[in-house]
Amino acid sequence: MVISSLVLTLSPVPEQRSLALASLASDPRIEIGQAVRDRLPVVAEAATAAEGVALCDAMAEHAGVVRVDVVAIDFGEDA
Amino acid sequence: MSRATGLEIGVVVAVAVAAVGLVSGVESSGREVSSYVDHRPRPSTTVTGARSYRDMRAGVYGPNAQLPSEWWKTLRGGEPDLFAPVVQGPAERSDALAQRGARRAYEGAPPTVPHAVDQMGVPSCLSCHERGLTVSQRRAPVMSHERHDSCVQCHVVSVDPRPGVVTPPPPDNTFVGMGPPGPGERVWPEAPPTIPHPTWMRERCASCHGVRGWPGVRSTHPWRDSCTQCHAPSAALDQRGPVSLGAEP
Amino acid sequence: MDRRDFIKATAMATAVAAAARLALHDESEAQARPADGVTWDQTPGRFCGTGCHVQVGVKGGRVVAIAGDQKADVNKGLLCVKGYHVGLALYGKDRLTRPLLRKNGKLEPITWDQALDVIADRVMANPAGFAMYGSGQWTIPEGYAAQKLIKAGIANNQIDPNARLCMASAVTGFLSTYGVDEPAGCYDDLDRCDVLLMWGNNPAEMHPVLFSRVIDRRSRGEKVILVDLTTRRTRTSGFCDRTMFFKPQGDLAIANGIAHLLLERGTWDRGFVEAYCNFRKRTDPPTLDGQAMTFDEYRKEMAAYTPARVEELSGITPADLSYLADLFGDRTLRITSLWCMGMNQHTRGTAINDLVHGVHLLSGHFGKPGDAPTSLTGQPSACGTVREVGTLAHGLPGGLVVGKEEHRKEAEAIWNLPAGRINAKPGYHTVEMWRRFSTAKDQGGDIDTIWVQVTNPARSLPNIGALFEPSRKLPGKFLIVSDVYPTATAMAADLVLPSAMWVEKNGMVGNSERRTQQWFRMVPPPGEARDDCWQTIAVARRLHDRGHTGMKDKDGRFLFHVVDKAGAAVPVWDWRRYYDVNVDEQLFEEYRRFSRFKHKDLAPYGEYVKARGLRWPVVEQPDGTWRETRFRFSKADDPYATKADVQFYHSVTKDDRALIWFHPWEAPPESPDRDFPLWLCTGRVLEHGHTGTITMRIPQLHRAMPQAYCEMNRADARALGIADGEVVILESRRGKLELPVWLGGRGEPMAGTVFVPFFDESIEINLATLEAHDPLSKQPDYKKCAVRVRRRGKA
Repeated sequence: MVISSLVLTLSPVPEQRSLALASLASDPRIEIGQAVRDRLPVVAEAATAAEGVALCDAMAEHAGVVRVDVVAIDFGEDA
Repeated sequence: MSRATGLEIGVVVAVAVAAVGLVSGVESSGREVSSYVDHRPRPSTTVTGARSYRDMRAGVYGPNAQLPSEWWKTLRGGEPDLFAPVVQGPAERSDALAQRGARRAYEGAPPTVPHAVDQMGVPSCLSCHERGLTVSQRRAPVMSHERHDSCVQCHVVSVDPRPGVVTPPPPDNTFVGMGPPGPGERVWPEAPPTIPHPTWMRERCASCHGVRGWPGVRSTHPWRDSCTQCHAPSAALDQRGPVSLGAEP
Repeated sequence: MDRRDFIKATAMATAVAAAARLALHDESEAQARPADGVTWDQTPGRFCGTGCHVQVGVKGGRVVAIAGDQKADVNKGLLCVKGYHVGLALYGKDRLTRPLLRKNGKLEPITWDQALDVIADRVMANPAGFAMYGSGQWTIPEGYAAQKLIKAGIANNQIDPNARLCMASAVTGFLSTYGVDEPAGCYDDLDRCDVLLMWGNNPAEMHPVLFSRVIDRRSRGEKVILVDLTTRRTRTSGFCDRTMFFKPQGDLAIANGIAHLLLERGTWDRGFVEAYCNFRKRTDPPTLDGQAMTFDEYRKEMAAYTPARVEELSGITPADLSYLADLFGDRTLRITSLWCMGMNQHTRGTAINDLVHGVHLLSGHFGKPGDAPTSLTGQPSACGTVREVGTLAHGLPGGLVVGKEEHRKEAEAIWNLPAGRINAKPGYHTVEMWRRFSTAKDQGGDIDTIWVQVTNPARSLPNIGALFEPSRKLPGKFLIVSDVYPTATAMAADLVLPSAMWVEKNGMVGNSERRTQQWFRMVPPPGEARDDCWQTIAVARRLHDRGHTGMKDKDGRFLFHVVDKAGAAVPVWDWRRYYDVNVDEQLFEEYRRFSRFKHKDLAPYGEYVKARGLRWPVVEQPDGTWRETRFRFSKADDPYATKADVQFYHSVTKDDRALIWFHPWEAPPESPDRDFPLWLCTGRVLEHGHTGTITMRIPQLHRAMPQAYCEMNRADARALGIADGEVVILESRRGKLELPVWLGGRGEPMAGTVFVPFFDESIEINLATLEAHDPLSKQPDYKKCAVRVRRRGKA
């Protein structure tokens, strides 16, 4: 399991924000933390590194997410 | 000694001023520009003996006596070589910052003028500082900001402006000015550093970082003129922080 | 917990920490410069009436840097050498930090509590003899507190400012011409004028940022003509297209000479004059209102000021006079006249101010951007505090005066005072106040206590040998000084109060273009230094607690009743509670109510926090925003000018017209003669403010100009055998002093005149000056008296 520590910067526009939060909440691979102003801490769990990258890209593409910062990645015991 | 005749101008500087004046079309005022470093004490009121013609022919005297031989070869003969390799290290850098700091109350203050200037008229600062000038060991940097005409409104001399008067010690003041910033951030080791200081009044990067700039902080590529194409300024430092758009209607 | 859960928990902790850090960074980005711990805030400058805005960098509770404020309209990021070094003003090593009381000839430290008692004792013992001497460097709330204490509390009207010595004639000039104080135009005129005419001032050194605003236009290719009318060659002259030297007092003749030629050539603006002006002449004795004059009478009086007569009186050639008349006769040009102390520090100051306004009105150079008679102010808040809050012996806030019953009633209503509390009799103007303070009680010296705030009269009064020094030798005369450094006045005082300065306190000021500006405190004051405003309120409270009935309004409320958001009273006279609320804001909101009377409307305090100042009248718009006024009396911009393109709605003659005055040339009270053959002119230099008590403590400014000097004309020096740098004795009928000569330095006076700057406390040039003053404004003339200069050792 590839576990990524991320900080998402959310859009200041309220509708876009809530849509983004709803979308993130509905994905079982994503765990959302307590937002500090526009910055949302997120932990994403993926089976492989490639899936992890794809998940990051998908999050970044969302209208309510301005950027995704990768803080740390645990690539797991398996290669 | 009156200012209209018998001027104590270093010939080197006078020639350079006239040369630049001719080239740039700025009329040299012929005003006294003397260096504090080699400023001589006022003559006494007693009569001094005149030199004989033989002495005048034979000896080298006057302000030029200190110059190295064949000094004219170091006169400006064209633009300095932009492509000469730049060799500099941290010692030069800290030297440059110390010298800069000695002339400034704090980082960003207008530097004091390290030489005498005409106190009354409109001093011809631009004849050396509009394009910069290097003569022998003296370096007149190009001014870092765009042209303003009343130079001495901000830049004052650093010693008593009256000739021959010993400058009294400065008053005790405990102000500690903000120091220079560290080097700009690089997002990876070879990346162009961001500009770690405000660019207001420092739009002409070449003033400090160009071929006539401070040794130690020179650009490795002075032939490139459009600095901010790669080196990002800071909106916050430039007083252009984000403006609150206010509550939505 | 298995490994996966552990890793996820750690990952979340990491993400949360990172998010918090980034969010904090967002917040600090907004107001701080990243990564070096310096926070920046904006404030107006400290030193002059230009009113530049400055960014102040603070780190660790200290000012560490200054930058020009790029968003400020006034200076657009540019400053002058004083402005760039204003941060150092707070850090001279000898800052006053404790209250001091003179005991047995020595100043000894005491507590604030004891100091307040000392002051209260003096007031209670003889309220009629207690006076306050304030300053054009007072913030608006400071001046307002002092004003209220004296006018509403002690009610003896004994309050006058040092601005009496700098701006009073400009005020009487405005009042007699337009019926209301302060310029109609603003600095926008500098951006638009085609001609800039200097009437005896030196803006290259004294208002450098404003001067640059014009000459930088020229170097960008615009055509601007600069003309210097002067009694000495200065740095300004070098920038001018034409310099015209005139004899002292000749300015009166020059103004009349221009009017004469305009009339003779028919190039005066008949349309403008017929629509918007009346003519006026003096009464005898002179009054501010004067009396009606017909156009024919005016013309007849002006007929005497032929170019030949003007040359005789002033020294300027007919060609030069004609040139000036050509400029004024050309309606396509926009002409801005600038003046400052040359015209104000003048025994006929009101007259010359009237005449220059008159030339502009007669020629129609008024009311369009760039066409402006622009009086420049010297001090940072002579306008904002002294003139607008009315801290003068005859004044009330908002342009009201104690002498008019309806004005007293208005003030009593706003201040909620019992009817008749405000005294109808004006107090003593500055020269008179100090003269009485320096006179024994049994000889009519009825002022026995003066509380000085933010100024240094021991060096800045004229004829200090008569007006100041005797007070220090007379029994029963008590001098209280609130200041930041041990100035000459403080060191001669009986009680010294350490004060906060500039960004060590909240403040508001008003500059030369009617722009009121605000700032917040940024660093703490040193030691026990406290805000001047607090000091005044604390004294008022001490008097209140001792039963002084004047300290209560008609409902028994303390005059300085200050509340918190819930409406509960806050005891701000307790220094620990002073910054619990914003006292500035509450005083300003009360003061603001006065500003409507003369259409000098001020906006709510909060608007000034948001803006880089606003020019009054500031009028609320239907959408709730506040709009400032750039050009008063012009229908195009002034919301109160409604009836015509130009409407002088405070007209003296009550018909919406301004007055064009006639004043004759008159000789000054003291001119050079055989015994004292030279004119003495005093003034400033770029590097220093006033008596240098602040700027001489800033190393860069001190080094650049460490000592005062006698500036002489070279031919005069040669004739007297005086060499450059020689120490000479300068002497008038009133006093003498020794000082070095500087030839060919910062300026070159005309033959027969000398110039001495007054920034050096050790060179007391005001021992020589004359306290004779303008009959209406009471402002003395620091530019003209008779002196002699001789070498030491020579009789």
